[in-house]
Amino acid sequence: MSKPNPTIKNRFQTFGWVGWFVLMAVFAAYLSSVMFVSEDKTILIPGKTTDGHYQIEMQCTACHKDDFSDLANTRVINEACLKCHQEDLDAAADSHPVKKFKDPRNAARLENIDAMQCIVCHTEHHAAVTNKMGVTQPEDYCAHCHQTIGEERPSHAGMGFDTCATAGCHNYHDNLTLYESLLARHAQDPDMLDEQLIPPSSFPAAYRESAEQPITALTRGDMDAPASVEVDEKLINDWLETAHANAGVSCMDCHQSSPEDGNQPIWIEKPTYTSCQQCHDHEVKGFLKGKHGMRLAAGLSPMTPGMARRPMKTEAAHQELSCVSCHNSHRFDRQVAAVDSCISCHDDSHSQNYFESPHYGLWLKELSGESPAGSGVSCASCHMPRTDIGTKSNPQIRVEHNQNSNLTPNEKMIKTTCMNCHGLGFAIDNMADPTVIQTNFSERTEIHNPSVDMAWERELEKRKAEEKENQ
Amino acid sequence: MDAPQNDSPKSGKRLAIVGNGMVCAHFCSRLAEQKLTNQYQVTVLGREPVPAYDRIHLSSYVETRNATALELKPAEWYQQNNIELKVGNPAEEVHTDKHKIITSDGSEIPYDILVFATGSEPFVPDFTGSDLPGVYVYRTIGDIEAICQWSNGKSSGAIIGGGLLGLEAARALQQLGVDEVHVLQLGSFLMPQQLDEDAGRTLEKLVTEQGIFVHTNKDTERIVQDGDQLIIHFKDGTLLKTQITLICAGVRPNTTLAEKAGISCGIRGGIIVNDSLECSVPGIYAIGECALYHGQSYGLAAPGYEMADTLVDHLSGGVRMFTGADLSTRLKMLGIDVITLGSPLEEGERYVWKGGGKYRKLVLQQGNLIGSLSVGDWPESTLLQPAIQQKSRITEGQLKRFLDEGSLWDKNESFSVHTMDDAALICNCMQVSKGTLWTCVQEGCRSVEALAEKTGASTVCGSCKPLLSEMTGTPPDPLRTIPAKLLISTSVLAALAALGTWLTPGVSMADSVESWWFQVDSLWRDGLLKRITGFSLLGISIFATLLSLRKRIFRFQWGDFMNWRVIHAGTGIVGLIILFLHTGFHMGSNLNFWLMACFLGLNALGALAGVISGVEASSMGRWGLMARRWRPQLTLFHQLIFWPFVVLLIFHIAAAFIY
Repeated sequence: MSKPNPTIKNRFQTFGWVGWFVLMAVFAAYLSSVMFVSEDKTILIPGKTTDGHYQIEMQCTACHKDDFSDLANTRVINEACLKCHQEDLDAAADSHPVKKFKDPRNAARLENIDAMQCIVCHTEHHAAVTNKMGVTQPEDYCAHCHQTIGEERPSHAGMGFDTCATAGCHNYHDNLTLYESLLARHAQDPDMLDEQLIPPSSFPAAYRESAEQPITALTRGDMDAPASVEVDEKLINDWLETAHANAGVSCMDCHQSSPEDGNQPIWIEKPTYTSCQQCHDHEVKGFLKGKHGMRLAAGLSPMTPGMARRPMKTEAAHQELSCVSCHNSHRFDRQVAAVDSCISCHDDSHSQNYFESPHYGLWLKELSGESPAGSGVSCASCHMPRTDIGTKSNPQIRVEHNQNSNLTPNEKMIKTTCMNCHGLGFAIDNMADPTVIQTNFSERTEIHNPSVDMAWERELEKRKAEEKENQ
Repeated sequence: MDAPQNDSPKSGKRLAIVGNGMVCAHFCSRLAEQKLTNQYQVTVLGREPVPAYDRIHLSSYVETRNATALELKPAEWYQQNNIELKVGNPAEEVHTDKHKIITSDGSEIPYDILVFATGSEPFVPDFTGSDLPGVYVYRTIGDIEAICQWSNGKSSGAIIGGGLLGLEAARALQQLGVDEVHVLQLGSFLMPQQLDEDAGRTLEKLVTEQGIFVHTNKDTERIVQDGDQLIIHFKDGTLLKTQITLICAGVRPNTTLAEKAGISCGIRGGIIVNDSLECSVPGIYAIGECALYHGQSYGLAAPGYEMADTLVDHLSGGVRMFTGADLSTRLKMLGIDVITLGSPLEEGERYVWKGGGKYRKLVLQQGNLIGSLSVGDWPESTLLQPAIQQKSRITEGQLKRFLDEGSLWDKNESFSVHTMDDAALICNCMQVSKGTLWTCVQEGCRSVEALAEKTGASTVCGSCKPLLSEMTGTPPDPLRTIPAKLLISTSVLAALAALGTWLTPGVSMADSVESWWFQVDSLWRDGLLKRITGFSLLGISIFATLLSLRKRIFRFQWGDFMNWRVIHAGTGIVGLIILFLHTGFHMGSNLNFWLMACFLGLNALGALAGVISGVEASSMGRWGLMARRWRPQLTLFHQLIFWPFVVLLIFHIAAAFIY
């Protein structure tokens, strides 16, 4: 039986298949190029990245190991997380550090949940289960270990485990604001403190102190820009009238390439954050850790409002963020940087409502000189707070440029910021109310968080007990 | 003549068959096929002096005068197959108590199992003159030979009986050179067993056109001899002079022997049998025309064969039951198609079309086709048979077309293998065209298996088996459609699962670590479980490709392809279940989304292809051919989408490990 010759249709089918396989090869090549070459790896992202990481999601190796030696295990390891977050955890005196679980007494708890691994609670790209703080465990995760809390603290009996961390009482890592003795100590604070002042930055004084030679203010003649550079008269005035000339900082101190490059220093038209970092190391580090600078830190292009998930002004969409995008060169006006710069991009209701708020009223009074410096409340007062990075004997007040450091969770803002002017209980209540936050504290909350009262009650019991003992 | 064997043979039980007709021959060949001839010592007793021959084509003897051409199996075949055939030696007595048969020559045949296949004998009405010389019945080769000799030089003949056999006989007389042939019908129209009056009259007209004289309402009173002429007197006073008369007034089951032996028989003959074809005496069976099943005896070969098959199954320990038989007939009477399908004489809505000397009738019950009747050619009859078997619904439009044009289906749509071009490929897998197959059919391949052996058609995927059945005219094996039906149901399940996965929003995750669901949703949280379900999916995907190997790798051809398809479809369902465990119905983003979509598409198309393959393999006619038209396309899309799935899967796994 002879088989019929392949028909034209069959030939077409054969060519069709060849074409299809060529197409598949092209497809595979495209995916390979995305995986191994291309910078834009969007199509490989398995799910929406959390708010904390989406800016740097194209830099896969920021979190994922890039050595393939151990393919059997997960490629996201604690070291990758801690590369960025270790300092914060240390600063916050992490309540659940890894070392706590290395204690054999806690071994049984690890069977409930492997608390040694960051990603057990903070799984990335898993939007369906991602709660606040990028937590991917159900909100009552404390139940894994703290089942006996009702016996240990009768006052806590009957409280749902979903209220531990969501009601503004406890945090898993950072409990620097919310610990019992602090609560008790400030339980009787009035809503408004007698002295409502934000401390001044100690940077200028420290800078002068650390200088090898006494600093004298510079004049026009001290300008050291190369002769070939044309300098606008306005820039010269801005420089002369502000802190840099006053602190002896001349043109070349900022406008030259880093000597580390090995070449002769040359004139740079637009200095980057590295120039600023020569003197403002703490501030630049904070900037690079926060939402404004984290892309630069990850080696990506600068952040622009257009990439943001929060509402931004459309006209600012392509503004690239750097030091000078807020601190306009060469005037470096801190008052402008504290409100006007923020508002030129941010367009959410909290930002818009600032101008209706009592805080803004205080800020206007400070600007007009009616009130003393430090009495006004700007955007930066809360979001780029002046914090003490020194020691008790040698306090060093600096501006924290990582606006995220006291924001997640926002209780972290209470001790460093709110308590400059307000009582602890008042601050806790208002910071727990999203509506009040949205109105930018134009109204006061009706929520009352009993944590301060509970701490105070216990304090009174302790005192009674002590009195009895003393009798 | 062999000596009677009184001793029980060591090889097994003794099986005696009384009667050596067509059904007996079929029964013997099935016994041989099933190797039961090793298990039983088989003896066949035939009345006629020759082995069983093809009685259906008896009339062809008048042309060939060659008895061996009609022979179904030569005597040597019986010998080779260990069957003792005693022809010309009919059984005369059966002693059921002593388990023995006494034949006409006095020999005793002991038996353990006895099968009556005595067939029927011509019915000769009770009138004088039926034994005159020149009056014949029309049943055996002996009868025909005698007719041939007598008719030599005769110019007129009469047939008493206008049924199927009577018309056959009329044709035979014409062929023997008898110019003037009269058909004398007792009733008012021809072939009353098969036709209604309208159809009978249509046939009468066509028969008359062929030079045959048809007389209806003629009740023979007597036949008298007048010289070399026979004068037939009718009860209405008329008479007819002929030179030869054939009595074709029907047949009666040949049950005298059984009655004498004390076996229960029907009033009008026929050995009463149950569903296992067993008679009132245990160990004795009856098959073929002599059997009376549920008050009915079957005068056709096909039901007899069905009985033979059932009994063979029963003897080999099977549980098959006889459940009645289809009485459809396709006759060519004097070159005229007379086709009855299903139950055209039953009650129901009747639709009749007449035109061009043709008569076509459909019988519907509640809109479903239950029977048809036609005189004259009707090309659609190949499509009608499956439609009637499945009691297909007939639409208003089809009825209108039938009443207008006499056809149920649009002529431009080919729904039958018979209307296909010779160049059309029937078996795509082995590239066998209709022309090639048709040649083989004409050369004698009369079964799907024979065609498969000769051309290779249907040996790969088997989808074309119904078409081969249609070409060879063999009914499809009902058992063969079981996997097809299984495939349809499995595929429907798979399609629903794929659709469900697509439409269902992803499962929500536990909102409390203390809930039982938190234990379940670790499937979608825990990296290890993800890897386990993921690799299970990979495994099941690889397993599914075995079907492709079965189809394409020559050495990998064991197992029936239909079963492979069922397993393949089952694999699809299992795959979708594991997909749920892996994803929780979440479609994912980007690459994962495309992979998920691709996987679901692959499953959905595969499921559709499965349904349509099942339809193709289990139904003939319209649905079968529609399925045949779409199955290759769906399968192609299923195969096309497989490849992006492979690419996406590779990169999905790579991404899971690199990142």
